[in-house]
Amino acid sequence: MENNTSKNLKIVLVFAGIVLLSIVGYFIYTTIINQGKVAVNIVAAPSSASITLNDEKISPGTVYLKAGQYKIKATKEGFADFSSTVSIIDKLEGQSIPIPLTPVSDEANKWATDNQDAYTEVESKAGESAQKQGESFREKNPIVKQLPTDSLLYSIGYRSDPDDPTGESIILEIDAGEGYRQAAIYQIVQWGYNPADFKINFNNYKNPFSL
Amino acid sequence: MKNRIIIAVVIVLIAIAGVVGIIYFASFHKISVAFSPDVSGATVFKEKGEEIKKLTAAGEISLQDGNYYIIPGGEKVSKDKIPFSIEGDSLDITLDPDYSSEFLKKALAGEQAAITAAAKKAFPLIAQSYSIDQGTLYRHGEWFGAILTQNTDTRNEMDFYRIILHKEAGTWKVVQKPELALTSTEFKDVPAGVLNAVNQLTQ
Repeated sequence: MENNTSKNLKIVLVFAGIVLLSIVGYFIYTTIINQGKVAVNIVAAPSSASITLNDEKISPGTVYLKAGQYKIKATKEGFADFSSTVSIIDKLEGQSIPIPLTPVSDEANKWATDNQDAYTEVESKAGESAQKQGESFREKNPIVKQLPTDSLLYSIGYRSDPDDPTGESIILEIDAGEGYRQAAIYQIVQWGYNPADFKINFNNYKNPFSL
Repeated sequence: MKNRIIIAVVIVLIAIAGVVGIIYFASFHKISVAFSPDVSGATVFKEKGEEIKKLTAAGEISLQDGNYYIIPGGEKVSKDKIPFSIEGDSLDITLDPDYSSEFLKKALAGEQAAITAAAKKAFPLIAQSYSIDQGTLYRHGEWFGAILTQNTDTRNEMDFYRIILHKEAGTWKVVQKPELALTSTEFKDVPAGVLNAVNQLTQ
């Protein structure tokens, strides 16, 4: 009787050990696999839509992605095909990829009417994600708080830098006539920024030293 | 019994003193200071200006966590403060300060002709229409920055440009075509301090 109890205890302990090791192993594996990636919530309405991210099939829920741009496509019978390009920002928690499919068929329209909550959730996640990305963008590019600015001599604006796939870098756009472009540079210095830190594009301008 | 209590108290006090001593000595970190050939010595100060140590040669000093600065010594070098912080770890500092503005000003006189010739050769437009103004040597005299002011049209407001030259193997070369503003993406090999200084030059 005592032998049996001891044997059972050993089995339980070995089993518990295996389970514990598996959990630790899985944790280590996922940590290594997801290193340098950020958790992104995929929310779709309807959630049964067939979704691809850069042509790889995925399901709604959390996926781990590296920072960059992704092509997202979703299809569902009765709904219009969905296609979009999204930017994922490095180390920014709480990002979502919202996929609201537009109903086309009568059946799909009925589903959409009956499931307004699903669309509301997608919209809500989209809003939250956009707000977080906006905050991150302004934090990385504090000069945008001053822009756009216009004066009699020049105007300074900005656009997203196409060379940065995360969409977090900017190019300053300066509009000024001959003789006033340095005034715009001086304004950037006056705001406390170093012009050397930016990509700057002067509109309607040709460098006379271009060979 | 009384003796035992006294011995116990003494042991506890020694132990406390030992622990305090260990904590105190452990709070010091080794700071290794190396000198560039132009630096002949240095003085280390606490952030608030209290002198800590004079160094006449490269070596190691022990400092606690905090903010400090070093003033390098040497005939040519700038005596500007070089701040540093210690946060729980040792630190290697190589003192390689820029030359002083007085020294660089004197050095420029001997380089000006070669610099002007190199700029005009690289961009003949400079010879035709621009004057090289506010020329300054930077770092150890191997970088030159200036603004180019148009001198042919004095009636209208004209943009001025910024130019950087670098001395390589004894020869001055224009780094890039002159620009309205110098950016680190276009002037990758130019030290940030030089870019910043040249961007600050005005007419």
